[in-house]
Amino acid sequence: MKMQKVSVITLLVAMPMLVSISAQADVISDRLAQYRAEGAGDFVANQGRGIWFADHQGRSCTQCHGEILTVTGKHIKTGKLIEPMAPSINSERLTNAKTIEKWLLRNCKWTLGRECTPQEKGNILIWLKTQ
Amino acid sequence: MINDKITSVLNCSRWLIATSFIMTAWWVGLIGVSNASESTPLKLTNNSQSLSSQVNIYRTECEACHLAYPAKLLPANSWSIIMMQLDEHFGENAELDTGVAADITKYLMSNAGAEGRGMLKRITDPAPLRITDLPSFVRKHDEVPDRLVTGNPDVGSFSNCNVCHEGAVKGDFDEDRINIPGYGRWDD
Repeated sequence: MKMQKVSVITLLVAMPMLVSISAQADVISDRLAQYRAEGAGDFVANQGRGIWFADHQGRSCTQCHGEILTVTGKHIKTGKLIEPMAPSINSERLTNAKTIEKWLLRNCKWTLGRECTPQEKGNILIWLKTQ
Repeated sequence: MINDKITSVLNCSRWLIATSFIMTAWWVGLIGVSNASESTPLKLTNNSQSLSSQVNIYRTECEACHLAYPAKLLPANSWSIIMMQLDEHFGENAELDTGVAADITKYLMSNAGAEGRGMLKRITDPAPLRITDLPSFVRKHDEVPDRLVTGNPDVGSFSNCNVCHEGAVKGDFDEDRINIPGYGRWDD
C-alpha cells in the first residue's frame, strides 16, 4: 500500500513536468518544421551554442542572459533581472511560439544587427531546449 | 484471512478511485488552462479591448525589460512617438506585434499626462521622450548626488524609478517612501 501511495504522489508531482515538456516539444517541433519550410536544413545544436557565446561586434546573448543558462540573467542596460533561459530550470521557457518569435526577432536584431536566418533560429532552439 | 483479503482489495479500489478522481480533476484543470492560454493571443488582436486588459498588456510587454512607467508621466505626443519607434527604443529593439502595439498605444493615449500639469509643468516644445528629461523630474532630483544613482551599482540609472521609489509600480512617488539602496531613506 505504501508503494501505491508513493507512486500516486510521484505521478501527481510528475504530471505538470510531463505536460510542460510535451507542450515545449510540440511548440519546438512546430517551429523547426516552419524553419525547414523556409529553407533550413538539419539543425545543429553546437552551432546554436556558437551563436549564443559569440562576440557579435561587441554584443552577445550572454551580456543579458549570462553564460550559465540555469541562473538568472540581468539586462545590460536596464538591470532588469531575466529569468533563467534553461527549460530544465524554468518550465515556461520555449512553450509559446509567439513569445519565441518575438524575442528571436528583437534579440537577433540587437545582438547580431540583423534578423537570424531560419537555420540559425532552429540551431539556437535545439541547443536551448537541452539546457 | 478472507476478511484481510477483502479489506486489502477494498483499500486498493479506494486508491484507484481516488486517483482517478484526482487525475480527472487534473485534466479538467489542464484543459481550462490550455484553453485560456490559447485564447489570449486572439484577444490581443481584438480592437475592442477593455481598459483593464489594455493596462495588463502594457504592463506585461513593457515590464519584460523595465518598469511600466505610469502613462501620466509623459504627454500623449511623446508616447505616440515612442510607440512608432519601438525598433529603436532608446538603443534597444522593442518591436511588438502590430495588434499588441496598437492596444498599448490606445492605453497610453487614454492615460497620458496633461501638459502643464503635475510632472508635465513647464514642459519643453517638443516634449521630451524621456521622463528623466522633464523639467520637473530634473528639478525634483537635482539634490540627489550621482554617487547614489549612476555610481550606485544597485541603482545604475535614474530610469530605474522602482529601485528607490518603493511604490513606483503603483504610480506612487511620495518622498516619504524613498529608500535608496546602500543609503537608506531620503530626507529632503
